[in-house]
Amino acid sequence: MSPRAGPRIAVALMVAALALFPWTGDVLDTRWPTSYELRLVIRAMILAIVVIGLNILVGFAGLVSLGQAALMGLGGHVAALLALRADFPFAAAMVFAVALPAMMGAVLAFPTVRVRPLYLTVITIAFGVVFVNVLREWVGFTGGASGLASIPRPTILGEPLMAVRRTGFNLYYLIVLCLLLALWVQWALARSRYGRAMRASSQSENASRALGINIVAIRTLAFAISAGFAGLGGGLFANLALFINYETFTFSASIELLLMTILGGSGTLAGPLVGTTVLFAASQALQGLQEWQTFAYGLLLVLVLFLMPQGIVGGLAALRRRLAGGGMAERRTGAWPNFVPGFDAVASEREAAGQATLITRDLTLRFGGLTAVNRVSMEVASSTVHALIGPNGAGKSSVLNVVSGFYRATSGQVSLFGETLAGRAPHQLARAGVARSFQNTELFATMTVLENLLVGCHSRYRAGFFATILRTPRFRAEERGMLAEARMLLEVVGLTGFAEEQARNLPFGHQRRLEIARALALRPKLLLLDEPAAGLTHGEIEELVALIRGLADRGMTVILVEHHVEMIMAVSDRVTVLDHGEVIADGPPAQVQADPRVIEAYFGHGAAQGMPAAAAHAVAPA
Amino acid sequence: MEAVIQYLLTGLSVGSVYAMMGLGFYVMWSAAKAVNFTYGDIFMLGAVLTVVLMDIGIGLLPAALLAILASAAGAAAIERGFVRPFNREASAIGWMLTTIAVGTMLESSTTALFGSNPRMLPSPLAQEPIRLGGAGIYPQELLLPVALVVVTVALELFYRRTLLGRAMRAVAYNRTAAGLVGIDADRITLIAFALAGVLGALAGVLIGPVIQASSTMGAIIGLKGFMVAIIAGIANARGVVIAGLLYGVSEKFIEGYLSTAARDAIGFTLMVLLLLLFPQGLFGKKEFSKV
Repeated sequence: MSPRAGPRIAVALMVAALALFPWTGDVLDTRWPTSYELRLVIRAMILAIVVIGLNILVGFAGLVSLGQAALMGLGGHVAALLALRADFPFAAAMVFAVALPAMMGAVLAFPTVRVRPLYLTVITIAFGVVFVNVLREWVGFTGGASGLASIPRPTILGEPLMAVRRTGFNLYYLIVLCLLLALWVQWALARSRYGRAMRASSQSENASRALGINIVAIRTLAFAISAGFAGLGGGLFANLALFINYETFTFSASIELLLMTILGGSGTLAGPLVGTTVLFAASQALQGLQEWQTFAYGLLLVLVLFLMPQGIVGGLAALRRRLAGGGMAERRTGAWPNFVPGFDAVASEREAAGQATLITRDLTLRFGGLTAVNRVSMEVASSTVHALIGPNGAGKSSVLNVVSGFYRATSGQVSLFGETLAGRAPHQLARAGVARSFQNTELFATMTVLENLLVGCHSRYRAGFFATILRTPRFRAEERGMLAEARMLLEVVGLTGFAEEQARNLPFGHQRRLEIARALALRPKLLLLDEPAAGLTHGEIEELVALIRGLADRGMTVILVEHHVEMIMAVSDRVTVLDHGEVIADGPPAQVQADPRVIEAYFGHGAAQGMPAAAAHAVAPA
Repeated sequence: MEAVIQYLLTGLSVGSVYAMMGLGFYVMWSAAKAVNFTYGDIFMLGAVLTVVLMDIGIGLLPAALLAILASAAGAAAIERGFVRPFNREASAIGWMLTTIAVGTMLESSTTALFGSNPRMLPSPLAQEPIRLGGAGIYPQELLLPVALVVVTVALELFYRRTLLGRAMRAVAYNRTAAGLVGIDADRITLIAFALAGVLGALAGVLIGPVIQASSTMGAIIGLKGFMVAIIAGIANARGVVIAGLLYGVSEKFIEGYLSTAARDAIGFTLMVLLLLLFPQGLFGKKEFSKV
């Protein structure tokens, strides 16, 4: 049995059960399900659609919305008002019921997520409060507490939609269809660069930006999708009940939706269905509690977070992994660098040899009164390895951070690939061909090794959002190509045996390899390595040197910030030495090594005159 | 003219509450890079517990004092039990969910035990309005801006002059480095939440006589305090105070010249727009995050 057979069988069984459910009475010759029970199932399915949207937000993008019920209410009221006041046909009204909340979601998300995710949560609560207030007070438009009644019954092609036997339960089946659609979108998203980018951005903002992901855009997209699903659910709700008022969409309803997401297992594909089913069933039982019902929800949420933070589905999956873990074979680490035949394509985006990849002119960076980088002018020739060295606090990493767009230079000029770079963001520079590693390895910890690499490929995909969701043949061909390239890169760094392992479980040296491979997945023209040798063993450093040399020989430009002098001498074509933010020496390694100013910077004043030979030896142990 | 003075005075009064709540969020955020999301319930507890304690025959001042201490203890317990275990990683969101859950539990159990109707919090300063330039206002309402000034100055002195306050600033600046010089960052965070609890409960006790005590009194005010802190730039105490007062005053003018119903809708829209224009807040500086 293939590993994907299990979920397929589960989906097939669910579809069959949902398809047969209204007719159970005929088969078993009972009066069950009654129209009341049928309605309960429909309401649970509508909630599940909303929860799937919330799962995309919480489980994928790591953002929390507490205004989801209000967005659902917005969709419901749009559908109801368009049908009541503007005689919109059902289908057209539903389009707006999805589109308006989605737009509202984007409007709420954009200003907030670019500062910090927390702000989105605050704004969504505020939106929920204001939404309910407006509905309650604007009686002329929304009916206030008495709501909007006698919404015209929805029709498609003149056929009335109802969940009764006479119409073949067509409304029921329409909602089943919407639920399956939502599940499809969730699944397609999870297995695409968009879903991966959402998860990546929730785990490491810096690494995501360095790989060309526009964090604000991807988070805004996540919330727009999730708001769109909320609107869809709301629109269906209005057309089912033919009545709508604000009481359904309060803050506690938003908490209930969030609880369903967490309970089922946020980030899992089946979680929303499980969470909605379990909590919906429980809430029917809890209705007798009255004001203690909200208390019970709060208590349940706390218990779930303490006892099974991964929810029911996530918890079961972890349990199964643990049970299966006993038979896991020892992973084999391959030798690296292993320049397999297809590898040259990675360095194909090269610049013409002999050109300057990077030129800085009087580059200065100040943090308040502290000058980290002071009028640094340097030139990095293409297809060379250029080392940036200096004592701690010399400003090496700061230069790297300016070049990769993380810091903005206070003054001076930087030009990359022949263009001046004025205030471009890290993700834009990544797309232009700048890749980097981080001093403290920043991997996407709970994503697999392979997924980490696929995030590296993010900016090279050409298929747009809708092609991705519809999984068109072109998209699938592209995805296969990227997957092949990711596997090839794993081969290069010898991690093929770890492809399905979570990145956080790798040993330290392997994490370094993965981070460099991930940067290569961008197919960069310029690779910035921030202390790649720190913490590696002697043997690993030699392998790293071979990799870096191999990259430069294939036309890639590498800037290396490093302390390990032996390595610098072995790998660099040119060395720039910084001290207190200023360039104190620049030239080929041998020349720099003998420079008295360099020795002084490392050993203090007097060392250069006192014991030149010994000091030079210490800087570069032979 | 009388109307303008009226709006200004009541605006400053309610704005002081927002400012105090905003300061509480500032204190929590600085120490923990996390907050009690339902801080409004600490505010509510301050007022409700005062009423409950007065019910059993304790005088106003001792009751208020006890209520504030109890709320602060509750705030500290929330930090220890629900924020700290869920704020281990940099991008953790667990603490949002747990504090929201605790908040709903607090609010719904208060509704069940205290009743859903608002109750009077009797204060000698809220018996008879006084006339000021043609505007009528309770002395209790005038007490709030005074209390805000005292609180702000005291907080400033605390942060600058006391060892504990300096330790708190050190933790806010760099938690790891503070730990390296021997500061127990976890304990400092706990104290910061308790301190925020004092601020929130104090605000609740002071405004209680004006707006009455009820289980739901905190939700919206806590939210507004949070938004005020965000708009000001959450890491700037003076900015929070100014933004709180401004928001309170503009609210009263919107109420007066437009309608009470439109107040929150306009207020929140305004805040979203401000955040759009000033992502780091009105008084916030661009935060420097080390890569």
